[in-house]
Amino acid sequence: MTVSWTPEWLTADRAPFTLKAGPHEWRGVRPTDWAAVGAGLRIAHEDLRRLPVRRIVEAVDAVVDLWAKRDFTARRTTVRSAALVTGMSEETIDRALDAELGHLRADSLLAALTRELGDPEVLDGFRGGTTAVGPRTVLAVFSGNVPGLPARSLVRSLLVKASVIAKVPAKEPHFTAAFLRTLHDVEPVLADAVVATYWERDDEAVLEAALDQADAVIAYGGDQACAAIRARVRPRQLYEEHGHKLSFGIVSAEYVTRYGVAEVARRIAADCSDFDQHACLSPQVYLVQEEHARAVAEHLAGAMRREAQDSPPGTIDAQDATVLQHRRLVAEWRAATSDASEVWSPDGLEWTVVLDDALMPLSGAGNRVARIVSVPDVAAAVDAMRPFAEHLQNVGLGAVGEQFRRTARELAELGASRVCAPGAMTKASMVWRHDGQPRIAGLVRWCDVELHPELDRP
Amino acid sequence: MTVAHDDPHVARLFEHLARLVCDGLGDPLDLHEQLVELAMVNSPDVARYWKQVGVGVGVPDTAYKDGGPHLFPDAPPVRVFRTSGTTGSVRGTVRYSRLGLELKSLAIEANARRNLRPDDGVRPVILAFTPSEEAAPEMAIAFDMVRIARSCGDPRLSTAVIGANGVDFDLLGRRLDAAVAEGLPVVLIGGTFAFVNVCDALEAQGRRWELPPGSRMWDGGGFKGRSRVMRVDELHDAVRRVFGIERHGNIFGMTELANQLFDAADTPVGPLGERPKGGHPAGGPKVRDPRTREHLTEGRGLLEVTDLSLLDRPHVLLTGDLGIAVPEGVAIAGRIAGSSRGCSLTLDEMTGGAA
Repeated sequence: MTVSWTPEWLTADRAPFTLKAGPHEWRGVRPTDWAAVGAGLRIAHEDLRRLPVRRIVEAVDAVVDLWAKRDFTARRTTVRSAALVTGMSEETIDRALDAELGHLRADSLLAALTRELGDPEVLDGFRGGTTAVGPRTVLAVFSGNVPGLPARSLVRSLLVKASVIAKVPAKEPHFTAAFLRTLHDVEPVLADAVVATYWERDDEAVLEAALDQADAVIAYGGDQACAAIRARVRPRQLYEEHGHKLSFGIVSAEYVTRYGVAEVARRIAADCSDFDQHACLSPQVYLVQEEHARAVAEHLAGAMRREAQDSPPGTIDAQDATVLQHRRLVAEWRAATSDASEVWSPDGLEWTVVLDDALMPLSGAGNRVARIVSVPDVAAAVDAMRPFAEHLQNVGLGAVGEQFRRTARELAELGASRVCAPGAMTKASMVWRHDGQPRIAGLVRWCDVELHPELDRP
Repeated sequence: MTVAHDDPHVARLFEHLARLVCDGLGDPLDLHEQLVELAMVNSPDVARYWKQVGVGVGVPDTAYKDGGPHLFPDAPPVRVFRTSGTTGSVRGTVRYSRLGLELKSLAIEANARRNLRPDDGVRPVILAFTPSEEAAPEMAIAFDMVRIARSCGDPRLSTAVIGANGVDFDLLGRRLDAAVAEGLPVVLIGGTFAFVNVCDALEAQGRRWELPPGSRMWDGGGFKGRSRVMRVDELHDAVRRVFGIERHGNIFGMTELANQLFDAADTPVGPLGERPKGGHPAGGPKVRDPRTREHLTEGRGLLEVTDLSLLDRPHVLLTGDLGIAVPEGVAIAGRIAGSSRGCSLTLDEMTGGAA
C-alpha cells in the first residue's frame, strides 16, 4: 500500500519515491509541481471552510470508530507494515494506536476545542462578537517512529479548517496515508484537503517549494532538524515546533505507602515499556525516595518481565543493541562496586532495570531500560533534573496532597509542560497543551467585532 | 587472601608475561587465566563483576573515572597517569606498580620494534606530536613515546615536537631537513587531529618535504569530540602532500591499557575507512556480540582489548568503542553513542556524552 496520499484533484506530475527498511520497500509519490499543489489545496480549503466544525469532529470520530477495532483491515495492514519498519511488536503498536486514537474521539476533540477557543463554533462564524480563522495551508513535517503520532497535528489542523501538506516520517510512514484513505471514505472534503508525501531531509528544494505554499508550519524532530526548518520559515508564517524533549518520573515515600510497592512498580513498568520507550513522553529515569527505591526496583524487574510477555519488545538493531549492551555492562560495573546499585535483566535485551544512587554516569537509551535512582526526598529529585530544564517535557509525578501540588508547580516553573500520574506518561490527551502551548488556538487568528451597533442586534 | 606485589608468584608471572610480550613465547591462554585469577583474588569488585557478566568480560573504561580497580594497593604506585577525558568530562587515573610499569615499558618497546622499524633495520628519526615526558609526566602517551624512540629511533634526531606553545614548527622543520640531508627515514607519530592541524599549518606556509624512503606516519586518537571529521584516506593524502610519506597507519592506545594496537592491514573497513587492528600473542582487539556477549569472528559490536602486558589492572578492557571484526583484525569505528529518535532525547546526549 502506498505511503503517500494525493487527492484525485492532483493530476499534475508526480515522482515516485521508495522507502526501505531492511529487505522491505514501500512506495509513494511526490508532487513535482508544488504551485499546482498549493492552488489545489486553496480550492479544497474553500470546501473545507464550509464544513461546520462539529461535522469535522464527527467525521474524525467516525474514522476513529472504524480504526478502534483492531481487526479493521486498514489498521491491520498499517500495524503489520509499521512493525516491519519500526521493529516494534504488533502488540506494542496496537497499544500505541489504541492510546493515540482514543484521544481523537468526539468528546476529546470538543473538550480540546472548548478549552482552547471557549466555543468551538467560533470556527464557523461570529459567536459573541468574535470568530477564529485557521490558516489556509499548514505544512507539517513529522519525524520519529511513534505510531500514530502524526494524527494529532493533522487533526488539529483540520479542526481549524486548514488544508495540510504532511511530510510523513521515514521511520513510520504508513499511518498517515492509511488514516487519510479512511477519512476520504467518511468525509472526502477533509481528505481532499491533505497531501501527504515524503522527501529526504536534505532535499532543500522540495522543502522550500512546500514552504512556499504554507501559511503555518509545524515541525517535529531533533534540534538540528527543527533548526533547519525554522531557519526557512517566512516572517508571515505561524510556526510550531516539537523539538528534542526529555521526560522522567518522581515517586515519593508517601505515594508508595498509599498505592503499594507492587502497584507503583507496575505503573513505572508501563511507562517504560509503552512505545518501547521510544517516545519523548517516555521516562528516561524514575527518581524514587530512597527508603523505597530498592523495593520498587526489585518489583519493577517482575513488572517489566510481565510487560514484555503481554506486549513483546521490538527487535533492536545492531547499533541500538551495542549501545544497550554497553550500558548494561557499565551498570553492572557500578553494581559490582556499589552497594547502592544493582542490575536486573534477562539474558536477552528485552528489558533492563538499573538501580543507582546517582543520576550519572549512566543514562537510559530507550528500549525498555527502567532506571531507578534513589534520592533523599522529592526536593532532591527536582534538583537532580534542574540541569535538564531546557528540554523537560513530561513528568510522572508520584506524590500526594500538598507535596503533589507544590512539586507540580516547581516542575512547571522548571520547564515541564505536562504532569501526570505514574503509569499515564505516554497517554497524553488532546486537551494537553502539547509542549506547553495551546496548539489549536495557536493556529488561529481572531477577529473581534467591537464598537459596532450590529453586534448587539439579534 | 590477596596476592602482594612482592609475592614470588607475581615475580614469576611478570617473567612469563615479559617473555610473551617481548618475544611472543609462552602460553597466552595460561597467562590469561593466571591474570584472571589474580584480578579476582585481589579485587572483590572485579570478582563480583565477573560473577554477574561472565569471567573475563572486559571491565568498562568508565570504571577508571573514579579510581577503578588497582590490583596492588599494598605497593606504592611508582607512576600515575591521567586519562584524557575524551570518554567524558571527568578525567580518571590509573596507577602503576614497579613491576607493572616495567612490563608496560617492555611491551611498548617490543611493539615499537615490531611495527616502527623500517624494513632494513635503520633507526628512523622519530618525531612525536606529543609533549616531552618531563613536560607531561601524567600523560601515558608521552611516556610511551620516549620508550618508542629509545627502542628504535635515531637517538640524535628523534624528539617530541610539542612545546609549551603547541607544535614547535622550527624544531620540526630543522629535524625534517636534517633527516632529508642524511637520508634517514622519518616516523611521524601523534594524535590524528594533530596531523590535521600540522598539515593545514604547513600547507598554509607553503612548506613541504619529500622524506626519505621508508618514512611513515602513525596517527592515533581519531576524531572523537572534534568539530571536523576526515576520512582516513583524506588524512593520508594530506600527509602525502606535505611530507611525501607513502606509508600510513593508525595506532590505538588508551591510558587504561598498557600497550598499543597497530593497523594490521591497509584495508578500509570502518565508516571513515578505518583499517583493522591486529593482535599479538600478548593480546589484541576482539568484538563482543551486543546481544550475547560472545566473541564475534566477524561483525559489529563492543570493542574489547586484551592486554597481557597489564599487571596492575584487569587485563581485559571494554573501551567504549564500536568494533568491526573482519578476518584481518578489528577496525575501531568510534565511540558507542546513543542515538535519539525523533523528539526523544536521552540524558547523555544532553551532557555531551559525559554519561
